[in-house]
Amino acid sequence: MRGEPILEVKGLQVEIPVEGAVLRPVRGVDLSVSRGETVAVVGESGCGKSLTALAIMGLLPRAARYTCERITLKGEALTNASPRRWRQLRGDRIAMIFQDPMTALDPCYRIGDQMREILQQHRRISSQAARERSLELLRKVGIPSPEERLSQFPHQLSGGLRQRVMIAMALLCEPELIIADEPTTALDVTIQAQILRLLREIQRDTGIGLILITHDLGVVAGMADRIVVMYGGEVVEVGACDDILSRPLHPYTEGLMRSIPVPGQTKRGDLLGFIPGIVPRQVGERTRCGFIDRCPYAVESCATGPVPLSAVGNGREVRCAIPAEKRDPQAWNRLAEAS
Amino acid sequence: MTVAANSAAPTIDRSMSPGRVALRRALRHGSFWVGGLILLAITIAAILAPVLTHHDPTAQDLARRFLPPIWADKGSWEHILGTDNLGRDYLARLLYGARISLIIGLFTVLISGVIGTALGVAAGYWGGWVDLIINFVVTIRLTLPVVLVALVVVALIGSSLSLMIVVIGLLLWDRFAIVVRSATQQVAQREFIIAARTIGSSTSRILLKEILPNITGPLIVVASIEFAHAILLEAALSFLGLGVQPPEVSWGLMVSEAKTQLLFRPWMVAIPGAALVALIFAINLIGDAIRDVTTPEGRA
Amino acid sequence: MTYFILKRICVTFLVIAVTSVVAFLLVHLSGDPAAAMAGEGATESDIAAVRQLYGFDRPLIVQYFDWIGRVLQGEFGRSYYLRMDVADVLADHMPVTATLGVLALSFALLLSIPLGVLAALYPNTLIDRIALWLAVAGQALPSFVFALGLMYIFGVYFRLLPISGGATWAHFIMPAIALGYYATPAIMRLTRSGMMDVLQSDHVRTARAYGLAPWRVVVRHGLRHAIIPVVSLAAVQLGFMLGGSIVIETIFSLKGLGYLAWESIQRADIEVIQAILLVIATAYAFLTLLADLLNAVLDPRIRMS
Repeated sequence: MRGEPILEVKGLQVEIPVEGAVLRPVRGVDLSVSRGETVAVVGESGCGKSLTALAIMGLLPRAARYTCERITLKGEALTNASPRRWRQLRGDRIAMIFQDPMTALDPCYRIGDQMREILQQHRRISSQAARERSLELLRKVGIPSPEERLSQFPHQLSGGLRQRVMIAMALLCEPELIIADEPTTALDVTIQAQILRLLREIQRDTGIGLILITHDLGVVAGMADRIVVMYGGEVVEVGACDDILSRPLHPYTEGLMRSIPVPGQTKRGDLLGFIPGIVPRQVGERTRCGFIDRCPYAVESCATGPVPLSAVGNGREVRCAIPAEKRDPQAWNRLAEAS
Repeated sequence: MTVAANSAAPTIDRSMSPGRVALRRALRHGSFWVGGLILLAITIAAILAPVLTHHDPTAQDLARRFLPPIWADKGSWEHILGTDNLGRDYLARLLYGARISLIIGLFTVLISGVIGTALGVAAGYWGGWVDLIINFVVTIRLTLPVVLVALVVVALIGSSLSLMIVVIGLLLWDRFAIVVRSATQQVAQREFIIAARTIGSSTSRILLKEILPNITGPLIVVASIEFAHAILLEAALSFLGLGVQPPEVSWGLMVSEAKTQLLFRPWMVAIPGAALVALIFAINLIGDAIRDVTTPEGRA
Repeated sequence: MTYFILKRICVTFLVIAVTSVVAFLLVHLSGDPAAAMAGEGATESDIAAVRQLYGFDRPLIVQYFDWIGRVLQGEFGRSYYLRMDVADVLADHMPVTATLGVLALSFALLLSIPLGVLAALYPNTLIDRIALWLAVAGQALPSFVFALGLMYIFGVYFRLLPISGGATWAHFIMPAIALGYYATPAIMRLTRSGMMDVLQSDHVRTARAYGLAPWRVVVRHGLRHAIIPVVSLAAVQLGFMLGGSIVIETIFSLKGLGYLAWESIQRADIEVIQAILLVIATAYAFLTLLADLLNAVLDPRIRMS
């Protein structure tokens, strides 16, 4: 029961030339978000999820090059859109919330000035009306005494409040889509829950699309409708949130799940599962499965060629050549002991 | 020098000292070469001045005043750069003038380097009250205008080369102190200094054997800046008529004596001016190169 | 914050007080002022007479407090050569140097800040290379050589600008450029590195992510930050220019403090020299104070703490 698609991205690639080589941190990612849908993009740091988001926003660092087969926003083809068109869309139709609210706001300007600047960039609106709108949104995101906050500088606000301000800023122009890049990672645990609840409420009230980028599967549960798991710049598994959390199909997703403590089951002192190894440097073409070096089930055939993403029914896709029934249940424990 | 044998190898041997690594990288730095060659050429010209020209830079010949240089009409090989208002050979004056610049640069940097380094190391190593007082002294020094103070002192005492060296040396130590202070603060935090303190090494030993060798990078960079600074200052003082006194030769003095001829004989200003520019430029290039290779993220 | 300002002001006055002692000692210990004033060929008794007339025979400490006491009341003494009150002489010459300094600084800022910003926006491109080479070349050019070069090209060869005196605004153009260019490399490099840093910062990324116009991103969210250390540097550079204007003023016969200093040094006009040293040092001390205060004004994080 997915609504009309808001954003559709196909074949997104990012390349970063470095000394003597070309890094390929994002290699052919497809992503789509529908109205009223929350899509969580999950993976370790270095898997390319943040770069995917920055590429969609056109905010990649100067050195990076990106190519995309197709990108549409509400039916408008943007594959070859001008930088000017992109600028009109950013902040207006697509908004972004960043990881670290301590540095994401400009320390030299008052909250009210920063909100007004965005509104006046995209709308013909008087300063008075901009102030009203800002106040309305600060109230909506649950900021106490918003009039006062308008004339304060970012450093006078706590981290949680600043992230609320960022959310209010994202909502200023009533966008179709919000991309939240690790919106709670930099916050205290108690604040994290509040911010996530706020994001979910807003998303349900307004029916916008939300892309939630996180390394934390725990954050995803109860938030996301669909999950996109990324590894090594590729999508390795896609599916409905509950399906994936209850029955992960890709070994990497399994590994991620094992690293979440489960309330009531994980006891103090229990060894939390983890995936040995690190995400390898992404250079050159894929000639074998990208996860082979860390996979507990890897067999010889995994090294013979790149593994395609294949549909397995029920809207699920997975990039693994080994069927679930052929996997050895003890493989993870052996891997953990060996390392 | 066993290391020099494999200097073509691109990788840097881990056993090399930081100073040697820096030197190795400097030798691959383009501007280090350009600057080094210019400076070497000027130094050789200064040392070999009596060999390169048989003219006495102070010998006047009023019958042969204002001879044009070789590229102008009526120029002759006898006086390649022509003669000045008193008939003195301009090339000879240029060559001997280089001596003054280099001597001033070298000796003032020695004086100011010792003063500034001592103050900087003291402030950075001991901190606290010592640091406060030295900072204050540096502020006082910065508050006094260099050119003016140098002029006043030199004029009141009566100018001589040695006096100018002392005065400029006593004025230009501020940057040494500031840079060495912060470099020392960084080094003093490092484990080996703390280790040396814990095993009870004497303070003088720590300062001389542990700290000084580790701040040579910034020290050399500042030395290059102040070397150029001192040369410029001497040139300015001599230009104002209060530095090197005739019949001695200095590039600043040459510009000063030639400035009345700016309309008809602009080359008389341009020649010593260009010599000064080349010298300062060379020193700055070397300084920039050293900074690039000694600071890890050295840029701009 | 108030505490910081008060402390900073106290330090400034302490600096000025100590500097006045140093300036006084420099002038009085560098030679026998009486002999210098009496001139060449003066007899021993002439010098003794001058010494007594001007009170140079008193202990230095008495002379210092006598001098500084009068200075605090606005009395800078009398110029023995000009036969005028030093305060009046200074008042005549000060506006010229102040004008020159402000013009020179304006020139330096107008040249170096746009260059620095462009170099940071397009690193390792032609414009960046040009800016860096201009900086390296600029630092290698002695100001008097540059001044004479300007004079030759614009004053003598093309005859576009007057080369001597300070009667009109046009008289200030070449001196201001000759004095100001020396500050441009430092300001440009600082602007460039500051902009490079701030363009990488998160809040600039936010500004871009919200579709703000490029000039807004660069100026309001970039330069606004990078300019803070530049303001301090500019204030300090202005102080250096006031002290260094002596060379430029002499070349262009601009009758400012520097020119006055040069004349007075040659005449051993001690009271004037002392006063100029004190004035320029005080100006420098206040400019650095101003720089710190401006920093606080420009950076809300400092202002609020």
